Amino acid sequence: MVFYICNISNMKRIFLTLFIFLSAITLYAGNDVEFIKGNESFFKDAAGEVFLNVSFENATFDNQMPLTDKFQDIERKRRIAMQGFTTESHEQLKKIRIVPSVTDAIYKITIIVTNVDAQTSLKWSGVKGLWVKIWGKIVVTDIKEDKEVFVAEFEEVKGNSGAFSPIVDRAFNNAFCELVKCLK
Amino acid sequence: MTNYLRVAMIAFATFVSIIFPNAKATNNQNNLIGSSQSYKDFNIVIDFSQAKICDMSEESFAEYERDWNKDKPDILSKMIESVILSSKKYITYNKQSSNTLFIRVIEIDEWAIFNCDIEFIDSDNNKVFEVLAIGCSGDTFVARSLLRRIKNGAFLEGLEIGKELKKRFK
Repeated sequence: MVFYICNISNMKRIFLTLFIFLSAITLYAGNDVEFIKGNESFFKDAAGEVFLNVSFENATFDNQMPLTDKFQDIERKRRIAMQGFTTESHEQLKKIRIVPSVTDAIYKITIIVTNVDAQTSLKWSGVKGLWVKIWGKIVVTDIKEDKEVFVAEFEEVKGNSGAFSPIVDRAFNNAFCELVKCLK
Repeated sequence: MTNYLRVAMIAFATFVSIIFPNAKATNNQNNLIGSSQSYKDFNIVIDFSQAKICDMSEESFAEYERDWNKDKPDILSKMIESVILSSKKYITYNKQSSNTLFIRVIEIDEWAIFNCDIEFIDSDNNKVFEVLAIGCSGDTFVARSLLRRIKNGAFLEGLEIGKELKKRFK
């Protein structure tokens, strides 16, 4: 077995198989956002100022209890969510700029979170981490025309807290960063 | 042979990117308001009033860890020292400055993993920027005492805060 692996020509085969297998996993990792109506490529094409609103109203935790029962500091979580989405969209969607005032904006993005789940995970190194998953709907409205230009639903968008840091706030932030990557 | 190495490196990189999908995103966020280019110096204020230390308020924790009040100044100075260390090229620490960096400690867990918010207030009392939920990796060395771990955690957290300042003032 060891001889088989150490053989140069076999090594090439093993590495190639491994590479193709890992690439396939990355490529076929499902998109967590399901487009419903409007312009599907809105986040690729649109440019200009955008106002962002994140709503946790009526959201549940693990479909079992109101989110506010689980997280008392829901307003802080909302601000963290806005921060995560804003930072990542400025990085990933270069043409869109999120502004703090609705009067300066052309579009309004409303993220309606319907469900949140959080779970601890044991990473490969045995270190405790934490995942936050979010479910919900994203609606983009043209403010001037008062018309929905993009509507999509997202489910199980995951953000982790990073190794050695099981902090819920960071996982929240990263879940909304991931959401931007899914929209791109 | 170099080809095999190349393939091996690509395979390894793919593997790492799968294991750490958020590797870049863990060093959090920045957002909000205007340019920070015009600020050259700042003062630091660290606020523990909202802090949950090992799920306790600061007062309760001080009863649990008797040396907390004795060690606290050292913990604060460690944090300030590392903030200065990692941001000194771009901005200078000055106690007399009217620009203030507020570090609000939200949470410290038993592995000295900090969760802090920062707020930069200028001399006219305007909020220049705010970053929420900055966290460090903590000190997971079990053999150390809790206060020692918190001291190291404070230093690591300061470095993370310094990195955020660096992004702003670069």
